[in-house]
Amino acid sequence: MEWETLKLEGQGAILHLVLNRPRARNAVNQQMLRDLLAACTAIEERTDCQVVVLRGEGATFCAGADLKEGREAPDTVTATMQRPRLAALALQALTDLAPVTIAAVQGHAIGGGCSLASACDFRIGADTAQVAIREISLGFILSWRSLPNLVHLVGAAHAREMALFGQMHDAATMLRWGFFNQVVPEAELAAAAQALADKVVRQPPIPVQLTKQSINALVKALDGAVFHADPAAYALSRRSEDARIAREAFFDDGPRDWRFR
Amino acid sequence: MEWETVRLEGTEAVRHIVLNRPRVHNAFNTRMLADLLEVVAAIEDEPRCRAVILRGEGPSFCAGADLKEGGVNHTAPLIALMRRAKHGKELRYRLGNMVPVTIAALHGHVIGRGVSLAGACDFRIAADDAKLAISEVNVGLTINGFFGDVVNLVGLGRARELFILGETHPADRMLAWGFYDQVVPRAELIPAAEALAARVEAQPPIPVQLTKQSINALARSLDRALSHANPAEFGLSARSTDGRLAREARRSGVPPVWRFE
Repeated sequence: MEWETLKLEGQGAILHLVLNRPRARNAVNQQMLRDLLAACTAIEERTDCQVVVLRGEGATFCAGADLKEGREAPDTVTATMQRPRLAALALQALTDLAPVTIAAVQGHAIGGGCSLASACDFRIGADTAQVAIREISLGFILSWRSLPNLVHLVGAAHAREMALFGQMHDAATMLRWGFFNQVVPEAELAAAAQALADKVVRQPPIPVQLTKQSINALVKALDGAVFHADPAAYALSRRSEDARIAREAFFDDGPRDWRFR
Repeated sequence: MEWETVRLEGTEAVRHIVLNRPRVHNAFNTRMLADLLEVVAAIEDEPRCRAVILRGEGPSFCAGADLKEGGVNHTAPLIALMRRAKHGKELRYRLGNMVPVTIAALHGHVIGRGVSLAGACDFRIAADDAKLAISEVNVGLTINGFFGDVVNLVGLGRARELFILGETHPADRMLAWGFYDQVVPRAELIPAAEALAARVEAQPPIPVQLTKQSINALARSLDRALSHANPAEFGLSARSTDGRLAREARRSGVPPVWRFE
């Protein structure tokens, strides 16, 4: 099945959900969020599916939210809040999928790309993969209610490090921090994802699905509640004067003169 | 846009979602679930919508799940049964999290799934002819995901009575218990809902949105986590012998002898 920005490939027990905007480095735009919701609905109808591998077409898993679309979007407060809300819905649908999900990450998983990977049950990284949350460099927050998933994976201290400083982290670090379950040479990424998917398929589906859901329910129990105001916090930070200063200073290394507003 | 089982009407500021299977008292089926999810998504793209009135065409608001669908004895494969239950929960979340303030206008039968829809809304106005029952247990089934709303509105003791005994209650009692916010003569139901919507419209949009979300986050914080096993419970009950006996007894009128399996 195909949507404008995504493809769903495969039959039976193992499906591949493919981010399909390779020329835009699979940047997440509003269309991709809608396509993701539709794709999750389609996957849920395949009651014989046990595993979904989430991967990105091309050299990059996902370079994050489509910044150009963000710049050109209407910037009323309500419109600014609606975008992360839609993204949070799409990520929730991905998190809640009944089949086990495996993100296969090559190249960059940045910002929203990190969010997509964090929403899956497992993550396998290519040794060339790099992960970052860079929103702060543009003066706003990682919204989409996705920060909790990252905290669950790498812990609060490393999550702070990633979110506050916006730096790129290599695959070895992400393995050590618990973001990746495995790291393999890039040429072996597809085979590694297949091998893990095969392991899942050998397990009986009902207890697998019930166990996945109970672990998620436990760990993510209060995530939505605590982060319910993420869209509002995003709108506030994005519209701050310091966000403008951050954007303007993005390519220069000098000290920033923050205005605290 | 048009849907088979639902109509979307009203003005830009106040939309009406009208359940539209009047010949079967708006019994809830898979099509209605899909249509409602689409309608809710469509309204989320309408930034000037301040309030949504949810009501039913014909003699009733909603008489519950369409028992003809899915086979009276729920003989669908277990995963399909659980998947359907899971999607039912999803509608409750989406409806409950809508940006506009939601007002359920209730008349005639308000049963089972109908109570779930009503509970997901911010306000409930009932006609004096409204008859409410949570009848899942009566037919050997369990609830999907709306325990929290009912407990929050009527308190634990009365919630137990509603869920466990599955009896039918008149409008004035549900007003006294706190499930309804207002009870009005049947002919005044829609005007009363519109009057409430007008009072919402008179308030500034952004604080209303943010306040609604905070209240919902607080009141529903653990709902998702605690209802994660509802689909499994549903599957187990639906397939139980006593579940089948309960459904047969309703048809035959002969009291069943329970088998405890």
